[in-house]
Amino acid sequence: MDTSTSPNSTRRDGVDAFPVTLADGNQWGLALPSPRLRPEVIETVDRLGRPSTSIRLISESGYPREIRRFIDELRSACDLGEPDQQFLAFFQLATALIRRAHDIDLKQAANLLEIGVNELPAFVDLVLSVVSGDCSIKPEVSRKEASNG
Amino acid sequence: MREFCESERRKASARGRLVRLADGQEWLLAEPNFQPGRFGLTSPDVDPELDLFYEQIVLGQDIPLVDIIAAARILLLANYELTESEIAELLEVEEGAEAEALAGIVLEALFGPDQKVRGYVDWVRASLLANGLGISSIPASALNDVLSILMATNRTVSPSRFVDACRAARDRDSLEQLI
Repeated sequence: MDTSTSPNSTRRDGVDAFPVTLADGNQWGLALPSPRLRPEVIETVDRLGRPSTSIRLISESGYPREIRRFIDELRSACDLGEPDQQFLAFFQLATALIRRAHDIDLKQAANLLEIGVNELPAFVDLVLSVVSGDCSIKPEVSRKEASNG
Repeated sequence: MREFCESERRKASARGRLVRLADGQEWLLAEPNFQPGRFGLTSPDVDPELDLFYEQIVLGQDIPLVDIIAAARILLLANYELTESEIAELLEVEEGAEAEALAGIVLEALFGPDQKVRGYVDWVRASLLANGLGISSIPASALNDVLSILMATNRTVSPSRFVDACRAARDRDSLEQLI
């Protein structure tokens, strides 16, 4: 992989990420949930009694809709119990988390996720702990370390 | 999560600037039209936002994110059929780079881009609009005469002061004369 697609050169500013060593041996980031400001419309009336709207912002921790959709798809696939759909939904989520933290295309992200069957369960645990925010207790976990642990 | 798609919600009249929102899709943020009327200036109505942002920019103050999102909501609703909860899903942002990117695009939609390459058509259009000829239909054979009169009577600037290609050619000629 050339230097233009190295973790440092592609890292997006302002996105907190959990470090993980991927298929190229480099340490990449999986985007963590973060505080997001969500607008809420408040219906009011002005001094003359006419309807009026104002906006307020509510802070919530989580992911943008783009990633929440993949989390929902993974949840649905798990409910259905279809392994193919579970794999697809999981890798869609994992690539989305990498691409939120790094400015790389889908193919590059997919290449980084070439994972051996034996390593997959630990990697799934890691990704789910990132999504749930539980990974903060582990300062740094690589895919290899996760599979050994 | 309820799915909705940009193309399904787009109004036939939609136009404006592409902006990537929280669902990862690109949406069209309406560019307001300016036309003085009895009750205001812009359509969709962003007169209060323009006044507010202009004041804050002139006074060197930060524009609150809530005001940027309120303006983005108006510009989005001008182009799409969306519920308030869908708007909220699309316009949620993280503070920092994501919010700044949205602010930049909203301000560009309201005030125009800081840097724009201006071509011949931009010059003709601006010249005609500035002289109240926006609704006139002028045949191509008469256009040069109209523009010549506008320039001769100082009612428009020459293309060499407006069109980027002309300005570049003038700079090149000046440089060649120096050499």
